[in-house]
Amino acid sequence: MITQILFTIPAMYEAAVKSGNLIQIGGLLKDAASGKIVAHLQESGLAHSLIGKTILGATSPITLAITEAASAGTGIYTAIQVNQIKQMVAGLQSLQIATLGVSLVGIGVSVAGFLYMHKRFNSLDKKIDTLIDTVTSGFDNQQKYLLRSHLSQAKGLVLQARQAPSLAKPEYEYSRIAEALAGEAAHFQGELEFVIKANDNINIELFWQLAQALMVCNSVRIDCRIRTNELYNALIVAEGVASSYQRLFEQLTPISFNTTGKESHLTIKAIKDITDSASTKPYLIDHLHTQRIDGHTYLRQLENEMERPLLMLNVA
Amino acid sequence: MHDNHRKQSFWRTLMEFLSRDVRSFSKGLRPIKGNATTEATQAVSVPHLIDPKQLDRIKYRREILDWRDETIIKLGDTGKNSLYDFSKHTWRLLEGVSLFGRVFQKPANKALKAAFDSRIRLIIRGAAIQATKDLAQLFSKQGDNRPEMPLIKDYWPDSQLSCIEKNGFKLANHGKIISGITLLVNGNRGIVRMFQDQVINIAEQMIKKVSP
Repeated sequence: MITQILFTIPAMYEAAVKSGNLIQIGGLLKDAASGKIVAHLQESGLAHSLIGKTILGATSPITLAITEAASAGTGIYTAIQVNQIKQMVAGLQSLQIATLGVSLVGIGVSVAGFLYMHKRFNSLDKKIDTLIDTVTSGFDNQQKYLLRSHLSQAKGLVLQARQAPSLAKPEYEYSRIAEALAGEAAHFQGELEFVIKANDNINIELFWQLAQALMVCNSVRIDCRIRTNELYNALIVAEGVASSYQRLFEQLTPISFNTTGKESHLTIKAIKDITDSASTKPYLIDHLHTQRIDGHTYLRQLENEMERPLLMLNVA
Repeated sequence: MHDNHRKQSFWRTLMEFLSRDVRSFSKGLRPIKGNATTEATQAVSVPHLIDPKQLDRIKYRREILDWRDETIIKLGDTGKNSLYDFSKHTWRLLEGVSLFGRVFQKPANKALKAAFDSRIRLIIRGAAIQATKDLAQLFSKQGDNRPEMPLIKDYWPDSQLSCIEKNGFKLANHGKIISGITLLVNGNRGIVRMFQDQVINIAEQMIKKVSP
């Protein structure tokens, strides 16, 4: 297995993307002439530690706009962090990605880390509780109880994933967690389908919180499979996730929500970016497989990267 | 001697066969697990598990959705802007109604039909025509095997503005007239919404055609 992976930076590809020689599709770059994949965009551990606060506080994708995050020097971040965020924003913009929504599912494979994902669930837990009680979207008491219960279970599983490295054989634990999270993801997907079908004007906040719960479950599932080097299964799961996002989200348009204007436009853009990123994730996993890159090593190298929030995994 | 040579050759072949890495017999569809690799497996390239040609489908699908959403937004904005322009124009016309006109009030629909056609209908139709051209550009990327391109139909219910027929054309009725036209154009079942629904259906059809 290859244990040292070399990355480059997005800025190296900017000129080729602008000129049209490289085409950006989801989280990868493709040569326009030959059609071959050239590089995969990959976030590092630094990326989530930077934008974590922004995303945790997001009630809707409006706060995920690139321009919003770029002016994040509001006291939450240090000067160095603001520069790193700007670097990340510039990297995304150079690749024509306009929202940070992709970070919800992990650009490339998720290196958010189980601690961060656990914090995400804590945040979701509080928000959804309030939202369900105030939104008249037809949730009955039983449904509310089940939703809270599944959020707690998902949160518990992510906590167990954090603790898995202390086991003698963590791979069994990761596999168990991945299986269990598949069930949780299925529940959140069902709730989302219900919210989408039951309303002409979907409550954007409730939709976004449920979508995040679904996306976090799926990210962590795939993460667990990659950590145990089950790359084939990780790819199959990633393909299934992409397919489910396409079916679920492609029916949403700027007039689907209970809000209009900038908020709904940005929500739809973020959803499309997220779906495309999920659709190209299998190609990254396929690259890890064909190049015999050890999954655990790959994730560890990305988690330890503390200088560059965005990296490019060169394929060509 | 010839027999001995054949026996030795047989044993050599058998030993070589038994020494061969068992993984070299597989088609390589399953990934290689664990950390250890042998020279034999390193020499064998690992086949891809996914077809890169699907990327074109992903890209095209995104282009259709972007066309759909941009058109929906443009139609919505066009409806609002043209309605605002129409409302101001109607106010000017109402202010200019003569004494004779105030006594013998014309039905609002007859008074405003021409203005409605030029300031709302033509403008929205123009937006729909532009959307069709944008769609044609997108469609041309499919090459020679493309099926018949779906069109946005120029369908206008209540083209005679019967919704404001009962309102006399006078200043006092400005609010009622504009409310009626607003509902006709921008209501939940209004004209803009009908065009938007057409756009949504067209995008859905196109995506179905490229989905596996």
